[in-house]
Amino acid sequence: MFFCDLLTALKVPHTDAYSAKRFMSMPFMSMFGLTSLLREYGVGSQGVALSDKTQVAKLPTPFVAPVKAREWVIVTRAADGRVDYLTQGQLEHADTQTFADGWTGEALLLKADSKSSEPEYCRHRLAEIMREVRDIGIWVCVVALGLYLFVANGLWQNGWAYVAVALNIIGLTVSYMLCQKTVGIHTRAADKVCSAIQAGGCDTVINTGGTFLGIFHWAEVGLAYFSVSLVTLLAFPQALDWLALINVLCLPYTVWSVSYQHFKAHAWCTLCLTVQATLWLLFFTYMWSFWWRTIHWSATPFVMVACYVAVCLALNKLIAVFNQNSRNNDSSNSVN
Amino acid sequence: MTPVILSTDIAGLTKLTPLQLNKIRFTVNNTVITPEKLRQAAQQKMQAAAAAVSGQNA
Repeated sequence: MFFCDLLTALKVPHTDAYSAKRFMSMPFMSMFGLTSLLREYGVGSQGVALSDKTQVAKLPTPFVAPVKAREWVIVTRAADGRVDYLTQGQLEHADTQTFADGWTGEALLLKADSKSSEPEYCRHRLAEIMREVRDIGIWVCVVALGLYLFVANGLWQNGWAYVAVALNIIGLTVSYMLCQKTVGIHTRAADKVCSAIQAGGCDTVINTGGTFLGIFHWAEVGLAYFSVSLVTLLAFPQALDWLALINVLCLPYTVWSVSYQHFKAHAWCTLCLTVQATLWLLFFTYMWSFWWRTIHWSATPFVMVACYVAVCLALNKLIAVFNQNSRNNDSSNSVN
Repeated sequence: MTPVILSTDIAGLTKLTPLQLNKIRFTVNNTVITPEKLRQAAQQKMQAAAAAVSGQNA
């Protein structure tokens, strides 16, 4: 987040949630708006333009430098023929000439002092700590419940169960990252995984990937599949044979997806490929553990399919609501 | 709040007015500006300038 990176570079005490929200709700998404916002934090600023851009090293750092169209970086150091700058939280380096070529020559010089701080920082920090405690609490409860079910249902005695649980957790995590990308939330972890095979490949495939039955994103289907499978595996291990059968029914999707990425999108999505590899590894796990030799016809598969469909529908609805809220926020920003 | 004190030995340095500052807009996206992208931006600017000059000559 640009504004939080800027406050960090200035060593101004701040909380990410409040500062990011304030920055996104600036009445003017311009350097003038940033100047006004920084004043709230007790940070002095002065906009300047430099006619000889190779003189960048003479400007006091850190400062904000617009590059390209409507994109800014934070210059943290300029000396010895090299410019260090922060972009999307990453530290990049360029030689002075390269930086000068791409830079507009304008800059917002900044000055913070010991009194500079986020308004009501202590209250916001306390709320941030409470949110962190809440998140840790959720994870502790989920892990404890999972462990309890794993032991209580006797799964701990079966080596293949460890593999199946691990694969479902991997599938769930990757599908969650894909869902985040689908709704435009970019995280460093997801971006790092995505760039493993082809930089930007995930976004290309997601943006051209279409939908299942016209409304479901494939990431939602994946999230529904792995979440219901994991819960079923832990809570109702007697339904393992049906999990194996449903896994087999999902395998044709992997062939379609790989063909789509290769022939139509002409890009490789690392996260999608990980989901597909996970589905095949689950298939081999189920096959080698002979779980599908014990299939007994009952109402179980119908209940399970109902669970998959219900979770998928709920996720689709939730993500649609989230997208609508995001669009409303974006349009209110663009009006300004 | 500490004001920014400008060094007087920087040639060609001018202060920007609030109106000028308001024209420097920002768009939220997730593009990482690598040195390669800086070079591309410079090339695009040069091409645009060249196109403008050739347009005037024509």
